[in-house]
Amino acid sequence: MLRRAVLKGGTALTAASLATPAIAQSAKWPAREISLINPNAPGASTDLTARIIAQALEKRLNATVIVKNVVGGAGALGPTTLAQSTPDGHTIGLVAISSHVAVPNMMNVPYDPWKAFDIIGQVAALRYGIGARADGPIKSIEDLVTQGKQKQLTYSSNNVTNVVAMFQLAKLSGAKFRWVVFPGGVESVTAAIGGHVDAVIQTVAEMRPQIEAGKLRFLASAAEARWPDYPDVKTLRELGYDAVSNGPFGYAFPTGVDPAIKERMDKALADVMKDESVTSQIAKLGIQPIYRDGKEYGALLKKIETELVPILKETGMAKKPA
Amino acid sequence: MEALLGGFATTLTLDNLFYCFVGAFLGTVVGILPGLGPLTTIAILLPITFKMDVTSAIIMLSGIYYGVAYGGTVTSVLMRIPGEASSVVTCLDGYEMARKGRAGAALGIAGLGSFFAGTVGVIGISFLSPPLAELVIKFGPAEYAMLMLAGLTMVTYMSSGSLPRALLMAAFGLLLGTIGSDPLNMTPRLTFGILALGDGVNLVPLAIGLFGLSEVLFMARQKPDDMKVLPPPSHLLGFMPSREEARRSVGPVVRGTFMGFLVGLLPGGGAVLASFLSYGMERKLSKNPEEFGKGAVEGLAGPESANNAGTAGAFVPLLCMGIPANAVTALLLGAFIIHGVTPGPTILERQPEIFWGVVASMYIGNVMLLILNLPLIGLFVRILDIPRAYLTPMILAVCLIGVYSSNGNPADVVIAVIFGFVGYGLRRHGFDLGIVILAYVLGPIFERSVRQSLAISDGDPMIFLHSYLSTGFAIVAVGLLIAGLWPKRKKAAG
Repeated sequence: MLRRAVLKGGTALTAASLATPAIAQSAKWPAREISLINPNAPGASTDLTARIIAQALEKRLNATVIVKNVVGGAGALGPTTLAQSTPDGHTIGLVAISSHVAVPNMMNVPYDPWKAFDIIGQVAALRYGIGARADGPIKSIEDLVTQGKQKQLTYSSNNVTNVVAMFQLAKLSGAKFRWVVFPGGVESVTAAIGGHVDAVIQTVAEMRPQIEAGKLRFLASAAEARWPDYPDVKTLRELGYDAVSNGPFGYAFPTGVDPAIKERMDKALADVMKDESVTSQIAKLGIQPIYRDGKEYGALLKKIETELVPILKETGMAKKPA
Repeated sequence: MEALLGGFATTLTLDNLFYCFVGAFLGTVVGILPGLGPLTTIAILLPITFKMDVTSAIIMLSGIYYGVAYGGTVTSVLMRIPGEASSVVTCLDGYEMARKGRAGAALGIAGLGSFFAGTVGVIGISFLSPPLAELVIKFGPAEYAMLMLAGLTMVTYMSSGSLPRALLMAAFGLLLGTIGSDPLNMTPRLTFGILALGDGVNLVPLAIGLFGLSEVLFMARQKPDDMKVLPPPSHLLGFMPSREEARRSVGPVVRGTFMGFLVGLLPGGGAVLASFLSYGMERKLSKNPEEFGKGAVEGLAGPESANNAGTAGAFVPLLCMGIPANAVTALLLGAFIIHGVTPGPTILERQPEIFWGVVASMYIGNVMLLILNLPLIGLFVRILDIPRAYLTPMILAVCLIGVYSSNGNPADVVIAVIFGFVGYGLRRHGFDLGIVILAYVLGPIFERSVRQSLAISDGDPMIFLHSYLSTGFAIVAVGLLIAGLWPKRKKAAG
């Protein structure tokens, strides 16, 4: 807590107090293993990606990189731990919509997302799509909208970051959709193919097995582009609705890391993302490997915040002002 | 059948047998060490498998998963530490058997029962996978809600004390289950602003606190004379159950196996629910329900078989639908996908050699586990020879390390210690702690599915009777409740 106060106290003071050890630090870095904090459980797509990236970083930094799953606090524990860790370059962690937008707007957290992190870069983006039961009455986005105007339809999804496109679609078309929250992505898809809800919005990884089995009809891509594996299915934008769900994720240091270390890490990550074997492994997970540097990625998160905050308020998920 | 033989051909290479052994062995070890669960182990080993052959990798990782179900029994019986959630029930009567000097028999029955259940489970996977997977998608929120309701009525079957006491413990468990984020709109509840409670109280610290740590406190208060409660194992074949014990185990093992397999199919706590259901059922069917909680062999044999059959059952939705039943199978699913295998309805057409290879490896893995475990029982029970003065601190250390390593979260250790004292206090006053865990596990699933159902139906409660399945479970729940309350009244009167 004290250290956070110091950091917020003033950059001049922080820089002065860190200047001397920092020089020694960058020469010796990495002096020991580097921890990569992931706020999701082992097996989550961000976790599998982190393990691929960690292995690739090891070769380039000549140090062990361990993935630490700091799960808990409804996603708040990971970013909080990252924000409060010593900025000596030996701790990095996942930053995404959850750490920067969802969590800070839904509960009281002891960090300021826009000040506590020094973003290294984005590595990937989840691709979302909208689906419905293959033998059900909804065969296109047009059906979804027309039937949604006649009566309220339900759809399943497990996370508030997924559903942005559905909220935008409802607003733009005047149809009524009700979100039913499920605990996991696959449960959510299963509910749709079982006919328990009318539609589903999830990622490629979660939807693809059922699409290929012919149980789920893939109505539209909710991402900025079409899914490469289904080039015939249009995006919502192409269908005339300016609605997109974004799912970027990347990594950051806690603020205060020696710029020389930051620069080396930036380079290492950029280099990892140029490695064909890494990107193809990530792509296999149904995730799009995308590299953005720290600055661009921060700007993207800021833009997403303006879209998501109104939805949090509408669903009653936003925290009550203290 | 031909396909299955092909699967055996795949598995019976020297390499694959080796990986099958490594997986089963690691699983057993991990099951014995509380906290270091299958989740952590598989996650750590995952990058190592990137360079391995697909089938070998999957055989090894699956081996860890079902090996754990065997290993978890050992600490539950010997030290009252549940190695994983589904062995909580094993602590109840298994540990009491150990206290009566039947530790070897308890482990033997558990091992043989698990072998039977595992094998029947794999046969179930081989022949029934596609139709069973279809059944799983019929379960929507309303069906879950009614199934959980039926599960919660087990409260009236589990208790050895009076009904109000049982209900009090159930209420306590339900209350613990509400701590954390609201399941629908994520609002923090009962967290008192403590970030670590944002996801609620985790099962591992809760179970290890209530069962393991409270036992340490009990031991600490015993007089030195009373410390010889645990007689050393009699002879080398001490793990062989007596004829009487074996006879009494057959029914529970068979019932536990079939019920465990069916309940294990369902995503969300299948194996845990299965073990509790089996315990309640055996207690109800038993001629001597008063023995339960005091070392009844049925109370060990049934749930142990049920949780192993449940572990096998969980593979059906995983392989055939790509639906993970719990966090561990979710991780296995991730591992499959990294290796380019897409579990799901198409796996049988596109990658049959992998499906049947995994199934065949499970037959072999079960045999390996039996061979691995039975001879070791003699060694395991030697733990009880260690003088109490040394054993107690060891148990304490194992509990705390286990709690910490389950999530790497120091707050969990504090929570476990708190529940150690809570458990000690409750047990001193004769409350049943199994009920707390049952209500704690089922309560949140019940709440979430009720609220999902009502969101879907726009508030119309008739959704709970909208399908044959949900109506059926509702009737079962009401029936169980009436049957559970009835004889109790008679006994109270007489």
